[in-house]
Amino acid sequence: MQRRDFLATLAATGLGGNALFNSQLMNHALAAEGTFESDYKALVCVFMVGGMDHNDTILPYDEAEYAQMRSVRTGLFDAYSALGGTYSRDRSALLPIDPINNEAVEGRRFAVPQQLSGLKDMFDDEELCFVGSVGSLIEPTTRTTYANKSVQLPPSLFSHNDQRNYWQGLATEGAKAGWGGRFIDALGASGQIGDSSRFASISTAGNNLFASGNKTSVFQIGSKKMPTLNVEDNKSLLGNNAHMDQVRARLFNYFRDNRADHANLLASDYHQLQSDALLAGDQFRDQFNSAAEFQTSFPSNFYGPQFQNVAKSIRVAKAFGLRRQIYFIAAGGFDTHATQSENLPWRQASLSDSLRAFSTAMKEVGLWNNVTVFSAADFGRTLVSNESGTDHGWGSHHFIAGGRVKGKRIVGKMPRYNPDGEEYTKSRARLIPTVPIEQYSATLGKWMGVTDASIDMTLPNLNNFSTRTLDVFNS
Amino acid sequence: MKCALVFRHKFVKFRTAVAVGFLLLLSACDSGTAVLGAASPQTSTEPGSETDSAQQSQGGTQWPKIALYGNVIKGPAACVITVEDMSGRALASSQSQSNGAYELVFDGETNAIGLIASNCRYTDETTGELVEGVTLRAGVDLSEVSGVNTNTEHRVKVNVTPFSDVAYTAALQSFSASGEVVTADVLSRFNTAVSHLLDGPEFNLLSDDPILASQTGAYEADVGTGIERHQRAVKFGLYLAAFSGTGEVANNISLLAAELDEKSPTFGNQTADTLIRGASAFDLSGRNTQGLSAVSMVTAETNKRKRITPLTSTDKHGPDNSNTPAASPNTESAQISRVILSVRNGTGSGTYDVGRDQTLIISANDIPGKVFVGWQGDTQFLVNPNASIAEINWPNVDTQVNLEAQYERVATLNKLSTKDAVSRFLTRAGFGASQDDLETWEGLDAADWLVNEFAKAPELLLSQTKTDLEATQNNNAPFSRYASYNLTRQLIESDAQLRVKMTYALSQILVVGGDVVNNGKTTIRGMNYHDVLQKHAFGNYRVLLEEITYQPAMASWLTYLRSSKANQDTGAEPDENFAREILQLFTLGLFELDSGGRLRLGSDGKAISIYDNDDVAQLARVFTGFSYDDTQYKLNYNKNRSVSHLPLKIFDEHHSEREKVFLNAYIPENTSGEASVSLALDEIFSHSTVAPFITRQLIQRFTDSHPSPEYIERVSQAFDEGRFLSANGTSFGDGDRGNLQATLAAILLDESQFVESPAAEIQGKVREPLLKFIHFMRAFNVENLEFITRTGRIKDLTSVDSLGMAYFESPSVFNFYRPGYVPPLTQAGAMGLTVPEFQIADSSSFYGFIGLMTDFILERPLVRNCSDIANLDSNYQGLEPCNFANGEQPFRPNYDQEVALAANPTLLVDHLNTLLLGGRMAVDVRQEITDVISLIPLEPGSYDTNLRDRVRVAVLMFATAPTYTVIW
Repeated sequence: MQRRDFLATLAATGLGGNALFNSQLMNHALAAEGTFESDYKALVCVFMVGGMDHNDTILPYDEAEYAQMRSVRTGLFDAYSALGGTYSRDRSALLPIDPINNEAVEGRRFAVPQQLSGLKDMFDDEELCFVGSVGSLIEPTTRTTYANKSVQLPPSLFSHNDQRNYWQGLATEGAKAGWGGRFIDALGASGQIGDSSRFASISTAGNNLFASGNKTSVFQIGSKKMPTLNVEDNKSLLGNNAHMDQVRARLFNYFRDNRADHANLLASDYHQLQSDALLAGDQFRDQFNSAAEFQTSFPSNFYGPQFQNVAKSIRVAKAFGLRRQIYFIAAGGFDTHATQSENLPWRQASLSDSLRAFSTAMKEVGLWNNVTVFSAADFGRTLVSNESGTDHGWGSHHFIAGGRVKGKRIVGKMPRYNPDGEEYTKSRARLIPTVPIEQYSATLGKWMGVTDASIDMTLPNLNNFSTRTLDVFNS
Repeated sequence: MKCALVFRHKFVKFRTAVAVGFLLLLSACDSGTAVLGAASPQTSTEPGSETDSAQQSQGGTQWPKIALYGNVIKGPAACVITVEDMSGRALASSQSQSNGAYELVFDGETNAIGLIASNCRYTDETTGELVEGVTLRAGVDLSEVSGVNTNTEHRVKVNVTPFSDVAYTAALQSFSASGEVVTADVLSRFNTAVSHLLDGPEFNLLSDDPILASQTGAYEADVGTGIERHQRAVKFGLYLAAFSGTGEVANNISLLAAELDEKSPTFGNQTADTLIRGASAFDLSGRNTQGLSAVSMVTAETNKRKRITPLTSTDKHGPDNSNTPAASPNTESAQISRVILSVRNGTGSGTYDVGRDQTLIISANDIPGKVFVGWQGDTQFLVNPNASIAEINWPNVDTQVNLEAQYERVATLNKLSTKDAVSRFLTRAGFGASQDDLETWEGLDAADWLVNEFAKAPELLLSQTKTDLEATQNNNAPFSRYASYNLTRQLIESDAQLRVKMTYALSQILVVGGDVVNNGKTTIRGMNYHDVLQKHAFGNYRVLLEEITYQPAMASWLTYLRSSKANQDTGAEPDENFAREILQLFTLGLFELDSGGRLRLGSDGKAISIYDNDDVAQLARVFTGFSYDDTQYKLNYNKNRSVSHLPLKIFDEHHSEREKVFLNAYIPENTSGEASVSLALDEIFSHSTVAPFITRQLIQRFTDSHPSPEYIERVSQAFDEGRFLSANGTSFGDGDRGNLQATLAAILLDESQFVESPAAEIQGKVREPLLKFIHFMRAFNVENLEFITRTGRIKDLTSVDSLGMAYFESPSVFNFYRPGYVPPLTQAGAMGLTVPEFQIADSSSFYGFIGLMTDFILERPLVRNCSDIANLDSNYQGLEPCNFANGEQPFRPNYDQEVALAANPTLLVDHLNTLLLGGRMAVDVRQEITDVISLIPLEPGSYDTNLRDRVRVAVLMFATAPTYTVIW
């Protein structure tokens, strides 16, 4: 971005001056009164960094299928049995999930481990659905066409960083805009974001491709209170006297100044990033930190505080006059090559418990119908295990949850568990997706109100598939 | 709208231009701006002239840096690439790779330029013949590239193809060609444009082609806004379609020609005829259906029409050349012959019609840090091949002459002639200069510093950690804290600065993360992993690879510890984790690279994958059977602490006995574990991609976030040859491939780091927060490290005021940031530059960094709320951060030298500018700091405190300046 464009953007979004901005903000809040609840939409991406094992998330519950899966993952299942209790993946320890649309899964039965009881409850309450066999695809692909390379395959399959980027932005490492950010770009271009578009894309987990657009930059709120600069906030650091007040005032501008240019491109970029971060932070912080707490309590695990901050941020969206937002939540450790039985369950519980608290909190403020949460990960994992873990796979199963979701259903495809089956690659039975990421994204984009034309622009391979969207939302 | 597309307007301008007898290039975007351009090379009378009116008239303005890149496509063609302004003056030159890719940077021109790809070699797609000596050209009107103005940098993609060459020729007669070849929907775009040209008053993309206009968003990351880009696309589409040979287009061209003919017979005839002729000669793929070269065909056609300007006297370049060969029997060609001159690293390139009494002069470029040693190539045409300004004996037949200026580095290239130079060098090579370093190294050669550093012994941490362990007899905390404490202390205190910096760099490539290194009982193996990196920091990369493969920390981190051969009963297969990452992260990446780190392309034009998943699964068999060096394979870790850090042993009964087939290796069945590992690493390491893949990342750690291909190539060469000879004649390395001393010397002594170059403003390394923090700690000899490093403040990644990273605390094997990260919504990102460190510069990170630095620089207690100390106590391990004696601080930077200067703010700022930034801080920022600290009065009752406050505020402002983060 050129300096003058950047400054123009700042001016346009009101980042230039606080006092002025806050009075504008009040006006927007008033103007938005009455329409917010009927119009506002937030899309929340929950990313499982490392690639979660979908076969350890939704397990077969019919006895024969259960036995078949267990036979190709003996070491893993035995390790779970040895831990026992809620960890056990013995069939009797699993929680069955029985979809309304059981004809779509040919009457087969499935179950989740006890750590995912929150997801099961939401499923049963018809506010969460599972999507089977989602993953990166350029065009429909089978075991045969994969093996003989007669179709275009996604680049750099099985590589963490590349597939993570592909999930988030349909391109490999080096990509600059993800599909979430580009949806926001499109919504912004058609005037659907509302005011304060600087906060249309928010992350609790740092910079990420999903939420970055060609015009949309990610605003980081983290999982704690929004920080101040200690030198500004704590007068004792420099000294509480008149000349130090002057120094502080000058430092305030120095940190935020975007006039002092530098011949060096990177230094200039760094200065602009810092200036934008502090100015936006100034603007967002007071509203956010003073937002009322929820009665719902969030677990203090590694997803909980992130969900809590997203909930708080959604709560203050109205004051900023925002109509559409995307959020990015992420946590790692899902790359369970070894000792999966020790590493996965508590992460699953963290996700499940946190999501459930989030939905409760959203209901508390009457916004659950305005929110959709979906899961994503680098990839699924091999059906055939190594001794105590699983290796990089391809397709995976995911969930979509929210007040408008047609819940208690399984869409997409649930594969059988024969490693030599058509659903898998030959080596180690990596699941070949049948639902392309782009169909999954288009479904979510459509819900956000993104036009078909903009969806096509964002999702280049969508039209290689016969169906554009999944049947997931109540109209 | 800055840049409305108004073809008719152009044509009007063009006719005006023709009327004054010059060939002009027009700006469509700045309406009202004077017509820009100069005489074409064909009519240039003073090739190589040192004067240039356009340049002079803009004297004193600052030229933007333009980076051109793209491909030469006629089949991929390797060529000499020269950028010329329209007077034929070479601005820069480079060489395209065998895949046609090129990149070069220049300044000095913001209007029309020509891109000349000469001396091309390619294989003809139709005949399979190797063709050499072809010249293809492309024209770009930079004034049409959005945002080209002063004080900015731009990256522009230009492909050079037969089409662009024809378009270039046409441009010489009409207006400038576009910057890009865009083939999508060319025909319909063309027809739309033509119909509006013929029927409407002007062509407006928004109203005339709304579908195209609506797609603008998708292209905004590229040069220019969408509409401007599409305007260029449409314009170029006109040319592209014109030469496509389809009947419909040809028909439209006739209409266009007729229309234009009415308006301007001269222009109409020239343009339309060329277009029509081109249309009949090229098919849609760009192949010339008549077997003629685009150049010769169009040149022949245009020459028929061209009025050959009489050449003026060239007396001022020297005497008439009396040695001119005798006129050939063909008197016509004896009077005028055509010389196609290509000058690499110099001026004078162009196509000249030369009379017998004329002389051509070429001139070698001045390259900072290098001295001209002579010309190479067709030197038989030179009167004196050793003169930097040389005269060409013009041959009296049509001839192509290729010359390249040759250089050597000046012997004083790496001399650290000022304190600023010392400071800048040590910031790249190490953690910044101390006050002593500035005195010691001023006037010496940087190569001497390297020799001095290479002689320093490793400082190993294992034994200290063992002692700590024995003292506490406790596997758990505070043991782990001692580990990170020792690691961080070494970054701050070690005298072996380069060795520690290299260890630090390697820790971000051969990544092993926090819970394996620092967590309680695993500390010993973590420290030993550190020690292995440090021992081999100046050794050999192949040796290091083998060492880390056997390290318990790595085996635990990438989960091949006790990964066993396939188990028929359980169906379990070997763990693929290490097999994949040793290829993808530690040696090769994913795709074949050339020695400059650029992707090699296959015959299908796509990147070449080095391996697939089957290779990974096979290689996984190699890394089976590893366990602790003891009698039992499945030994409980806790019971076995004495061997837990030692190199692992391979238990062959658990090692896969099957064959291992990957890359080009075949390891037969029943090969032992150790032999398999050795063979596998040899095979992986033998790949030519290792050098560019690893050296690019090492360069990113030390000097440059987005190193140029040339820089990578020079360092790769040192890595592959295991040797580097510095400018002052110091030899580094032992000649073995993978030698890291040679590699480091090549990185740190590279010419790009020691000369001012036009590319410098887009170069540089963004320093990560930890590196910036360590620089401060060392620059001011911060004391009382015991407390600082034990508090956990530095390694706490979750605190609001945090660096967001800590030594050996990467969250995954993918490090804190990726080497290929391109930051969105930045100028660097718009240019496609990789800036790994920006990946963690999220909007809250600035609070973390400024907040942490504030506490340290202002010498404030690290515990904010001492009433809460009970809850914090476990972090401090017996230290009492809230219980200091009156006036004592928990730690103390040595500001003595600064306090002594602080009565004079200007002197203090100048001193800090040298110490911390090597003199790079912008003048207005220095003034601001001076002004701010001058606000602190020096009062009798608090004189010393006031001085120290000035220093603290000044250091805080320096440490948060962009020039502190970005080094160059």
